[in-house]
Amino acid sequence: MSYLAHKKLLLIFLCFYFVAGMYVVDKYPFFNWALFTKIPNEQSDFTIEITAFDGTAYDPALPFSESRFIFEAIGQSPTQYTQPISDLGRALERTDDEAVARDRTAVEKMFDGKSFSYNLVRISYDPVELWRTGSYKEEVQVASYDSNHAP
Amino acid sequence: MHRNLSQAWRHVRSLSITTLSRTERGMDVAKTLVSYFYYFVPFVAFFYTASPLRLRHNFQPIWPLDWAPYFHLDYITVVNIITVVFLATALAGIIFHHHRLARLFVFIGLWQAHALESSFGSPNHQWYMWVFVSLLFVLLPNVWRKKTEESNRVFLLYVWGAQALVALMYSMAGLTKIMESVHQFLLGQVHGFSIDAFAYQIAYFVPRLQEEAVLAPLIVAHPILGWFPYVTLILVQACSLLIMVRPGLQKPWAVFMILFHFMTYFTMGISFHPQIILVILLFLHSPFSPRTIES
Repeated sequence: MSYLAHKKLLLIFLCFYFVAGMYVVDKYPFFNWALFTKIPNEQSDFTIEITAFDGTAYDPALPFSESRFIFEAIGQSPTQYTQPISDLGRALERTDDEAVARDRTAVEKMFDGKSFSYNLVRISYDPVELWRTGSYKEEVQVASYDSNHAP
Repeated sequence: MHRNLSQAWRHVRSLSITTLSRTERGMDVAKTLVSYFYYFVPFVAFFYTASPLRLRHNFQPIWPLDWAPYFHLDYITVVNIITVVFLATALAGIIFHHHRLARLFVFIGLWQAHALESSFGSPNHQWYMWVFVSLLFVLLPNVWRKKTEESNRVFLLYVWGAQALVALMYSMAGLTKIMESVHQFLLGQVHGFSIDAFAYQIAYFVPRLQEEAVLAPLIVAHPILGWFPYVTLILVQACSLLIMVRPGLQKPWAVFMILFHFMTYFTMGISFHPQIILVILLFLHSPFSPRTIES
């Protein structure tokens, strides 16, 4: 292949990557590189509070955002469970029993099979206000689960 | 002042690929850049093997790993196969990267390992660009063995292409930030150019990621401290492709991006160590930079 042919191939590849990334947004291997693009204003989401883990009861319940020490002890990361927790909450909101069972299974894989019980909580908050005051604008418990009782 | 700026702007232009391909110095720098890329792939491989992949759950294999369910392989077996392949190809690449087949195997190792890391609901962004650069480098001619002007030109073209792809990805990051900022501004929300923008990013992501971020409390307490760096980042990212037509800007741009990744770590606890290495390798000693050729 001549230099000119290589040049055309390369330029087409670069243009294709740009167009594919911006159009497809996020489908492997194309990505629009929109990382931390949106400024998170007031949020509505779901989180969990751990009421017991591996025989240890937590009263008051341990917020998920403060549970890193448990994950570190078993070589896991809490970040991989933030999306499954949100998915579980949304499935519950739309009363999709199949999705609830599926998402509960995904959430309860955390802690590497060790038993735990938790409350699923719907929250709304302003991120900066939450950081400064430690308080949600709204906090409603929507369900309680025990990983020993399979979905 | 206008004349000085004009002279400075002309000075950061590069020689053409054709002219560079005839210079011993230009080719030596380009070959060194490529060699060092392959010397550092094992570094990425180490990061991969050091991560607790075997303990992860919710494995959802993406399409490059379609062979795994096809052969009915369990997760741990897949991890072990990919680990061995990645390490073996990365180490072989140190010595044999002059040969296209070796570079192809390095790409396959990187790609499969990256696909595995990206099979848990979202892609791994930290070393995404390594995969694409290694793909482009597969097409490099073997100028270590057989040097012709044509092969030299093609070699430099793909080195340029690797740089351009990385710069393009940063430009896309900046462009999408600007687009979203406009959208949020029109909605009356806190947007990317607001005084509080960085504070909101930190306050939202740091508790979710639960990583150590030593500067996070300072920025949230005093959002104005984060405003200028954040806005500068957006603008520099969006203009990243400019360094491909003004390669004299590559070094300062690279230093800025390295600082950006350092700051992301200290303010949000997010590490992009492999990306820092890639920026250093590709841009701090670029064959297209006038200063590299003059020195």
